[in-house]
Amino acid sequence: MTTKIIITPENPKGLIVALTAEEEAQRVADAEASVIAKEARDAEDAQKATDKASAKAKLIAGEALTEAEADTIVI
Amino acid sequence: MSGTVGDNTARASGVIAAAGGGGMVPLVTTVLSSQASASFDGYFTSDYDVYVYQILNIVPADNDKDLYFRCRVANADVSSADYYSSLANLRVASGGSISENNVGGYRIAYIPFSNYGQPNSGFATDRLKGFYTLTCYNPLGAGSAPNPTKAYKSHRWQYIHPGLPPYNGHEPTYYYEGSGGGTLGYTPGQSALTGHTFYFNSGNIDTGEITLYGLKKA
Repeated sequence: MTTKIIITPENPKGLIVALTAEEEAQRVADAEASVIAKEARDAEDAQKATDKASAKAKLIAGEALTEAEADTIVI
Repeated sequence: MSGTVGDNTARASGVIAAAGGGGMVPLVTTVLSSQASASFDGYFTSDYDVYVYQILNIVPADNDKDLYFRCRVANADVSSADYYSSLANLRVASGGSISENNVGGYRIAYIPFSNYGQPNSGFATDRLKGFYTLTCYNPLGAGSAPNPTKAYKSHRWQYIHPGLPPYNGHEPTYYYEGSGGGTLGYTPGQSALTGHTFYFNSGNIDTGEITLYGLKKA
């Protein structure tokens, strides 16, 4: 059984209760959403790293940068 | 010259504030053990405008988790689209370099810890433990001009997580610090927040200690 603890002025040491069906459902939804969000962040980070490396190579070679590549080096 | 500084209660004028105003007041501390979440509720009053949760040594039951918080209204968690958050300037220093990123637009707020620095670098069971704070301003806040029907509650995450032990082959040289701020709780109807819930994106909180403080009005 999954439990949560609720701390209130009436129960400052915490009241441990089982999750309701709705809370269990929300917990599953949160976990699923976090996976999607993490994948999106990872993809964005990977693209930034790729753009940055490409920007560096193009700068050395004297080639034009794309906007995304320029964004990685402009502060 | 020597002397004693006393409070200035009953004085007509003076430079020292009367006793009893301001200051950080500990409201409650709880030690966590194998719970899905920890909710604090009913501690927000008109005595305080600012509340600070200090989260110490919190550890998930499983590796690579993100720490979340969710607002509570009317003694229950809320997850509606009214509760947007934005986080900015999350920063990780590792191996002598710093990576920084911004995230936002989520209906819940969290430290997206596992995305910054190294792969699989989220909260982990085998880490040295860190220290995290969540500051909430104006949880009871009602709307005011120029937008009297909507009230914003501001939050700010801060964390420091030094000296990780080896994990997935990484050297113990990573140093994580960061902060994220945002307005969470765009609340039509001026609903007051009654508390916050802390949890990991999945799995239980294995251990941890959370203390809630209120910054007493002067």
